[in-house]
Amino acid sequence: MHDNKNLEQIEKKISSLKKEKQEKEEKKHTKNHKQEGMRAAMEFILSILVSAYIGYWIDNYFNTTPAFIFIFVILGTATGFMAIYKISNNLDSSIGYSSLHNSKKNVKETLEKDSNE
Amino acid sequence: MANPVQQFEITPLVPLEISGYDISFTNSSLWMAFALIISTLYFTISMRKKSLVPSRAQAFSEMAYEMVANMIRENIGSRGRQYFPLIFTLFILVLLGNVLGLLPYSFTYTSHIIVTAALALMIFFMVIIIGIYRHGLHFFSLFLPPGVPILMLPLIVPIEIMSFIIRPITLSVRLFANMVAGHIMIKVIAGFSVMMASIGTIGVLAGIIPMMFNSVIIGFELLIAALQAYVFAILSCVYLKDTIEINH
Repeated sequence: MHDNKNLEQIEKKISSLKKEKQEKEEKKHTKNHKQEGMRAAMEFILSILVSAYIGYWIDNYFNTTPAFIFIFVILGTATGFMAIYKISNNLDSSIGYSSLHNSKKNVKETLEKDSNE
Repeated sequence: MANPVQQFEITPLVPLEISGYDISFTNSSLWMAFALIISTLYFTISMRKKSLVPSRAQAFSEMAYEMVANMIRENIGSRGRQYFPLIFTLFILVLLGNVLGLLPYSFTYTSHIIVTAALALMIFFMVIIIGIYRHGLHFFSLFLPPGVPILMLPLIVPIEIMSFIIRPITLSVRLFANMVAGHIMIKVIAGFSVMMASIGTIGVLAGIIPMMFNSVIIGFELLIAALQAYVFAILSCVYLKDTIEINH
């Protein structure tokens, strides 16, 4: 009898410690999200500005104002939204979509695992 | 009140000029040299004993080493170990630049976009050159995502190329902007104290408030200094990953 009580106490302790650990990790994640948000905002603004500048430069070089600045601003906006999309999907700013496919697969797999359990 | 931007001024200490190019030894170069000397001395001296139970200094250098090694393993994979010296050097250089800049009378060399841009462009061209050397023309399939309908390609490929070009710019601007903004904020708030003190006796007492606020901000700046160095290193890892594997 006495042993059982002790075991229960130990189990309780373990579960509470586990909870604490989880909470700590969750806190870490929210911190990261803030940083990621700043990054997404910066990448969005910078991609528009930089592409606008590239367009402006090409226009000056070939004397074709406003053709290229027009094209490049639109392109830059699209790039900015793509950057936000990639960062919000936790893909970092790596080029290409293979990681996107993988992340979607991972989500599916974990969901299936959870439902099986 | 002192000009808050004055602290970023580059002043030549040893004027030098070779065939029209100004290559003076400036205060920026001086602090870069300090960073070089401090990092070299620290890592040599702290690791000289190589004791099994590390001393405080040895524990710190081992921690830095392990952190960068883990960063590379997580972001590039085990094949990224060849980039360890580069990433570690970058990390220590940026970290020391940021942290040494917080010392009074020092100069923050990472607060100049030319310095951060040079580091970022080095990574950028490294990715292109090593990528083409290793993968040949297959490297450009980076811009051709798989599983995208042909109709979408004229839209997607320019977007991918643009985001590739923008990468070194965001990398350098992030570090430079964080450093400049932090240092200007410290200087402006310190300026409040000076302005208060010029009022009189009450002003001197009131001037303590911005000073207290500043001491909090300096702690915060220390966090940002370390964080930005970390972000710079981690993003370099992410970019260098393209040279190792083009996985599609």
